[in-house]
Amino acid sequence: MQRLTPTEKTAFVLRHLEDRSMSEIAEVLGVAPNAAKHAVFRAVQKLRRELAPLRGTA
Amino acid sequence: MKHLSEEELVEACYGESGAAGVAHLAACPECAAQLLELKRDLEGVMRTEVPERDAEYGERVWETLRPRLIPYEKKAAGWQKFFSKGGAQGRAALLALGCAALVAAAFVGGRVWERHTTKTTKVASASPSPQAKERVVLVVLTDHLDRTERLLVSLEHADSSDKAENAQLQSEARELLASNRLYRTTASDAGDPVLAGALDRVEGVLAEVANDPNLTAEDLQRLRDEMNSEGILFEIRVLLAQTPDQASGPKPAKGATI
Repeated sequence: MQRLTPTEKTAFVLRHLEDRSMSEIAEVLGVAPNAAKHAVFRAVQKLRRELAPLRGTA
Repeated sequence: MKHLSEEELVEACYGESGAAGVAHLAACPECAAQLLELKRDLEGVMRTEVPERDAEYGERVWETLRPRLIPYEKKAAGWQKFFSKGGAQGRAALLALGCAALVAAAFVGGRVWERHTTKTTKVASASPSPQAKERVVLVVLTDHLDRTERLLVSLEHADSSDKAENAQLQSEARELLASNRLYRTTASDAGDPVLAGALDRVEGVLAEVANDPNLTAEDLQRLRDEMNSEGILFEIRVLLAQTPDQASGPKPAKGATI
């Protein structure tokens, strides 16, 4: 999670843990819904990349 | 067949893909497998429960923060530095200074308090002496007699055709009538038959002037005759001359004579 930017981290936490909709996340971040969606995507992408080695060992 | 992009898979993972995406996932086992893998990856992310904070949580946070804080040192004022550097001698000097200030404040306060209470006592115990009362009565009575004299002189020369002047005379007579009654009663009670008698005669004239709805030439002539026959104006002038302030200096003659 430390690899994520504050926006990505916030967007991911709101979407993944608090189950907020994209429009709500966009409102919290003060960005357009597409930008919020992209922030969530980038966060997921980074996390998967970081988790890839662990997945291989598991 | 075009497979779903990674972004579209993320959307599908959170249930936000469109109808086309859902249809593709149902038809494409490859994309469905990728979505399953994505979900598996995300399931492991931060699913741990946040533990409840115990009673010592605040203390631990404070211990963590304390070393980072910059110690705050209050700048001492010049006189504080002087006394702090002076040590025991400085503190003794400060104590002596404080005591001296207290003694001075008590002394000044005592003086001021004593003066204040003396004044209050004087004011409270001061009651007008009989002489003072008499002076006040004389001043008021002199003023009344003075006004009465002027009214009688004006009445002596009044013109029945001048309505405005007559109205002013009547207004003045009404005011004088009320105060005249008071002075007459007071003089009678005080055992001054001369003053009471004079005021009684004046009161008759004042009552006629004040209560006459329409002062005609006959009314005015009758009043003049009454004043002349009884010598009311002369009597008022005599009384005025007998008052102490009149006796101290000759008063200039006012208006016409009877």
